[in-house]
Amino acid sequence: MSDFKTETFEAGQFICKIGDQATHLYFLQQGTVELVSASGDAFAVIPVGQSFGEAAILKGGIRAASIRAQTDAVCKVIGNDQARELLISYSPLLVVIMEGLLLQQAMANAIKYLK
Amino acid sequence: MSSNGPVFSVDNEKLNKFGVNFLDSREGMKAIQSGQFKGEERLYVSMLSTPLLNTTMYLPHKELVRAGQQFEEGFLIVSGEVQITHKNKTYTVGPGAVLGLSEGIVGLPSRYTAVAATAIQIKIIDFHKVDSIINLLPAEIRAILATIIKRILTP
Repeated sequence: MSDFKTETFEAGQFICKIGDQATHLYFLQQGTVELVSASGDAFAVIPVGQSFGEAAILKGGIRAASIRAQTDAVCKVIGNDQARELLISYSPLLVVIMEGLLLQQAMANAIKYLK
Repeated sequence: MSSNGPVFSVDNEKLNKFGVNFLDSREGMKAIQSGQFKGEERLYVSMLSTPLLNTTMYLPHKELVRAGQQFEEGFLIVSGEVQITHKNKTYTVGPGAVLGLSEGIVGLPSRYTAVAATAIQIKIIDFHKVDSIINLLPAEIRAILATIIKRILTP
C-alpha cells in the first residue's frame, strides 16, 4: 500500500512517548515492541503482525503510554490524516466502524479492570 | 439495574450541551488540546454525528441479545442503560458503550445477555454493510481491525 511507509527502529529506541500527539498508526512487520508506563516500566508486549497506536484515528489524540522497540523492529506506518482518508476512500462507514471498535475496546478494558 | 451505576459510560448530558459538531469547530479543537474531552467522549460524539447509522429506541426490558445467540447488528448506546449478564456477573453500561460490533464482524455469538435496563436510544451498525466493505480492504487495514477485535474479545 503506497499510503504506508516502512520505518525501522533499533532495540531500545522509543517510537513514541507518553503524552505525545498521536499522529501515526503502526503495523508491526518484524520484531517486538513494548508499552512503557510513565514510571518507565514495560507492562505489555506487542508481537509481530499486530498494530499499535490506533488512538491516532482520534483527532488530537494523546499517547497513553510510551512505545519502545524491544528488539530491532520494522513497522508499516501511516499518518492519522492519511489513515482517515484511506478508510473514507473505501467507505465513510469504515471510520465509524473503527471508532465503534475503539469504543468497544474502551468498554472491554473497563470491564476487565472490574474483574 | 446495578446500584453502583454503569461500569462504562460517557457523560452524554455534558456532551449534548456542546452539540455533535462542536469537536470539529475551532473551540472544539482547543477543548481537545486542553484535555477537556476523553478519547471515548470524542469517539461517542463522532459516532453520534454520522448520518450513516440509523437510530431507534427501546423500552425497558427489551432483550437486545441472549448469550449464545449471534448478534444481528451492533449497537452504540446513545442514552439510557443496558444490563449485561455474563456467567454469574451482572452490571450495566451506559451511553458510549458499543455491543456486538467485534463479535458481529468475526461471526462469534454473544458471550452475554443484554437487556435494556431503562428506556434506551441506540445507533444500529448493520453488519451486512460492514462485511461487504471489509472484504475489499488492504491487508494492513484488515490487520489493524483484527488487532483491535482480538484485544476486545480476549477475556
